[in-house]
Amino acid sequence: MSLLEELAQAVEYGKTADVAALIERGVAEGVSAQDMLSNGLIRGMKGLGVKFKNHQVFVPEVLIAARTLKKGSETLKHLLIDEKIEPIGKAVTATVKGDLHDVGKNLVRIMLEGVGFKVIDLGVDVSTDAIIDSIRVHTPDVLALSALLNTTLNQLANVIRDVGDAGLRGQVKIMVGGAPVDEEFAKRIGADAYADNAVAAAEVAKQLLETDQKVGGAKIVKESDDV
Amino acid sequence: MSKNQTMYELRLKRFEDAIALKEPDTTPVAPWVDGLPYFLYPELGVTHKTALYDHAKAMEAHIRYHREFEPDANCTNSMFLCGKAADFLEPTMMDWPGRKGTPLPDESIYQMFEIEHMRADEYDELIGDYSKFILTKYLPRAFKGLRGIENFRIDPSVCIMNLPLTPIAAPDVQGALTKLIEYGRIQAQADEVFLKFIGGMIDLGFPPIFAAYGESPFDVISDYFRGTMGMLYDQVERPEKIKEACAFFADIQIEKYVAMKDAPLPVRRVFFPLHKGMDGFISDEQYRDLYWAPFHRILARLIDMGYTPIIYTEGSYETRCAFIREKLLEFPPGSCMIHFESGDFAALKKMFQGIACIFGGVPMQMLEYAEKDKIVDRVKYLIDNCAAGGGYVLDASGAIEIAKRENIEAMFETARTYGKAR
Repeated sequence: MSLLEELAQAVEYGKTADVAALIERGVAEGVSAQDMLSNGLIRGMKGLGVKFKNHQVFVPEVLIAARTLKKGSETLKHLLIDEKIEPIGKAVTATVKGDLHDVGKNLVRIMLEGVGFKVIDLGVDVSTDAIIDSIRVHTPDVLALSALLNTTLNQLANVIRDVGDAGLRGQVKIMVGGAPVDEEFAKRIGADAYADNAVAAAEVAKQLLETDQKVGGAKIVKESDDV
Repeated sequence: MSKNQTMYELRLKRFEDAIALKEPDTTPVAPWVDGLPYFLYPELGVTHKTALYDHAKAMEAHIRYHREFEPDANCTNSMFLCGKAADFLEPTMMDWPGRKGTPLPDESIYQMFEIEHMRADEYDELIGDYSKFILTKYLPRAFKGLRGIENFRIDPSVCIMNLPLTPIAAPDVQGALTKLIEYGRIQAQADEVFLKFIGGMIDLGFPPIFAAYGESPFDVISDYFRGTMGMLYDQVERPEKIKEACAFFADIQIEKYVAMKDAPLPVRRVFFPLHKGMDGFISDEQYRDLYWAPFHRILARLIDMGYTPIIYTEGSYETRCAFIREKLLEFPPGSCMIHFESGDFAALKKMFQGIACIFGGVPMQMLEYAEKDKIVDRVKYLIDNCAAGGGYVLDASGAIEIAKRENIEAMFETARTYGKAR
């Protein structure tokens, strides 16, 4: 098994100490940080995503792997800066105004980081104004919004409307999720995408980076084989 | 017998027949409601804040809803928490409308936080000395108002007269104990009002849907001790500890139910919302061993005592159904009710036919956004596919907050006419 394969496997099994040792070995052997990140750490996460979709692993295993990947990425950070490697994209995450729930949103943040996004997390109970400000300041590729309550569901629609009114809708892809959200609702409010779990959300976000279509109910993806 | 008493008996029988897998006179309709009555009657000026702080006023909305729609059970979900008591104890696990400084509007339901009130390395402490852990660690962490209780000790180093109790004289301990006593007084007053509400609804002809409630031990640990994130890590890193703690909490809960064995309750049903067992969040193996096994012991004991557990699954449960069916087969037919938030109800009915009464089926989003015709079609579909032979109660996919009035009317009206005409 190659070093990169070992790295991928260490992420998949959540072996943080092994990842650290393998990165050290990789550096000694002259393997590029980019290679270790893309073909080692992220590849391990991808493999786990497929297993998640096939019900072979579950959220806890994915969470442990994401934590391992994050620690590996941190270890690689200075090398990546040296190699001028950028994140695959920028994402802003937020739970909308009136809703204080953060577990789902946090899982999405972790999974987005796991597939290589830089994430700006605005937290919970976030006003539309704060979201609009963050789009202006951070220019994210993706805005991931969460609502857990039926009573805050409409706030997702309000944010999408207000982002449009602010003239920013063409600059950012918006994905929505949360217990009461479904694909139909996402389409109705003009979201670009919907995901019914955090692992799928990371895949959907990656797909959003790849599509040129910017506005309105365009790419509603529920699940994918490739995370 | 008064008309209300007659209707009470009729509704109770209708519901009990459905649970016992006997065909009732018509399909029971018993939607769980949260803020729906407040939404339907805005002229009353009742909000979730009212429900927490002015119970008598909030009751008006619930009474009006029951009188107008005549559900087959009192499924009021938002009337049994006391804002004043919460203000006093300051629980860290939630926020609620009316709390000083809350960002929540009066119309918002209370919201739960996921806080680690117990660290990952504290399972042994919890199980080894539950009372000490609760008193000196859990309470001060979970209730800001009780900080100080962590210094509560009975010091056995000098045992003359009252000296072992000397630590209780410390001002912070005194403060916490005084608060506990005052809390008890406030809560007792609130309980009196809640019981009056239940009794009042019975007088109006509406049986309560349940008389006691609990949670699966796994959910207790996840919701209140470790938090969802902590529990997700524990599922990989210390499943044996979860198992031990779940067994421990199952024993505690069973003790509670045994104590109410002969209690004179209006219905012998215990409500269990299942929070953290949905598809994807736990493997089949761990669901079986960590989640269901200790919960099953609780169910078995309750059923043995003549109680009907109401199992209220939350989230997608598609991958769990076949397993649950097998487990419920261990009990006599008609021992449990089981609610599903989503899924193919025709298939669910077939799966649980002759085993357990299912309920649910009308999506809340549909009630809020769809046209009336869709509701009529959905209710007819549910009655056509689930009502035959009993074993079905019509309900929404969750506790209803907001819905179009015409859709609520259509749900009840269709169920009453079509359910009877079958």
